[in-house]
Amino acid sequence: MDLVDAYLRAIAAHLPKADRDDIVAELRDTILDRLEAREAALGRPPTEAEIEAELHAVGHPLEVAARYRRGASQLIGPRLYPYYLFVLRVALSLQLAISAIVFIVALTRGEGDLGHALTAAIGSIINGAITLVGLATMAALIIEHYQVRLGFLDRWRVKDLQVLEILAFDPLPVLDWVMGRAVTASATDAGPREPWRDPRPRRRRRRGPVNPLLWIASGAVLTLWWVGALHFFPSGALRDDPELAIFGPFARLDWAAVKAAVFIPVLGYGLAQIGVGAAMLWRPAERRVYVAGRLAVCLVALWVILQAWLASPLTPAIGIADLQDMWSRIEQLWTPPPWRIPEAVIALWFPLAALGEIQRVLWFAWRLMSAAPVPMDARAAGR
Amino acid sequence: MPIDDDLYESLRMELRRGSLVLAVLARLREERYGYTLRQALAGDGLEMEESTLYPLLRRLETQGLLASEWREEDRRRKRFYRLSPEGEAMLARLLDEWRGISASLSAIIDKTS
Repeated sequence: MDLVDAYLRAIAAHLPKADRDDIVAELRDTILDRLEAREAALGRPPTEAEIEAELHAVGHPLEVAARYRRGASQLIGPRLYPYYLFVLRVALSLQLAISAIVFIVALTRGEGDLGHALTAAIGSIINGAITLVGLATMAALIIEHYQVRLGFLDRWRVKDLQVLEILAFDPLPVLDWVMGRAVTASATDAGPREPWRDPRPRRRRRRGPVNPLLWIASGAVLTLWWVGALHFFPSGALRDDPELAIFGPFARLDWAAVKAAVFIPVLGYGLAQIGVGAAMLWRPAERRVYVAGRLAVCLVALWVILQAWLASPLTPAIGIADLQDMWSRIEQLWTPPPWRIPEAVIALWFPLAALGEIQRVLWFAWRLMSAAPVPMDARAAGR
Repeated sequence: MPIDDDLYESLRMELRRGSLVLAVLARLREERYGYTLRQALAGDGLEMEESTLYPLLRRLETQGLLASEWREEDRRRKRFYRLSPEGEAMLARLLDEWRGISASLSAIIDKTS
């Protein structure tokens, strides 16, 4: 009965104190009834695995305990939810507008360059959005938990409702679209089939490949940063940062030389991403265009990895000469001194990443050559 | 159509939820403990998950509709539930409502089919 006791203890920890013993006693009785019924059916006492299976059927302890909890069982209830969404929509729109104004003012007054202003604007939008979502959720949680009555929600007049029409913008479809998973789950949607969407009707939405605009955006940010037009990561200051001392040999590296060694491949990688996005926009229905683009991105990524690993100033710090060397890198992961661990992790990452990239190259090359409309592989596409 | 199955399942659950309370209250005019109650309901054609039944019993008890006591049976202490007087009154009112809904639905279905 050790299993049952352990299971019940796990549940008890999450039950309200007042009824804990009572609920646990009843649950114990129920479980014992189940086990007796099982024993009668089997003609012998159930094995440990069979007991475990019975407990699984009862449910995860957290879930079982939650059924006995009083009060709200959701963060934001269905009554509050539309108001919550509306408040968020208004707050996020205002925040977006303010960030845009600040951005434009900074540009017109000539403070800093475009890169700085854009970086600051994107940063403030992301920070602000996270803060607003957090605050709104916390407020809703408190309202829900303490069952706060919001009287003003009941005292509305029709002539005050125009504000709702102005702010009717619903961000969720936009989010769906950006994430590339717009209504593909709906079997009734017989829209044009794009090659980066799995045309089979699906029971569950799964992670879809990203939208062409995200390819272009990520490629553009990488390219602009690489050529020095965006400054969100102080690459020049790397060497002077004392915290980087834990990276051992990396702290003494000449990062400018590293950048020079991989400059062309990384630039190519950014441009290839833009190219894939553009190709998806240009020929949305042409599977081969998309697959060829993905193949090109993978080839360039492989180039970046091999160049940095084998033929850059990084090579002496992270290179792996032979199997013996590889094994000593692996050993570094658990042998002191601990500050050599990051070095080993990075050294081991490169060959693994190269292998992964080779696998992707082969996959996309095969897809390009095979004529059959192979459905999109979610794992390969989710990069 | 897998999506329709999902939809059916969620609508069915919604439809059943209220009637299960009625079934439990009605079955507890006779005193029972959880396991035998579940068997009795299954015998009536109303399979009910333990995970639904036990929290429901507890909730109905805190609402004063059920009374319970721990008693020994088959060498084990079991919690027996029985309809309380308040529960009896509530059940009568709910059954009236249920018969009303059922009659209205039958009338609508007969008219439209």
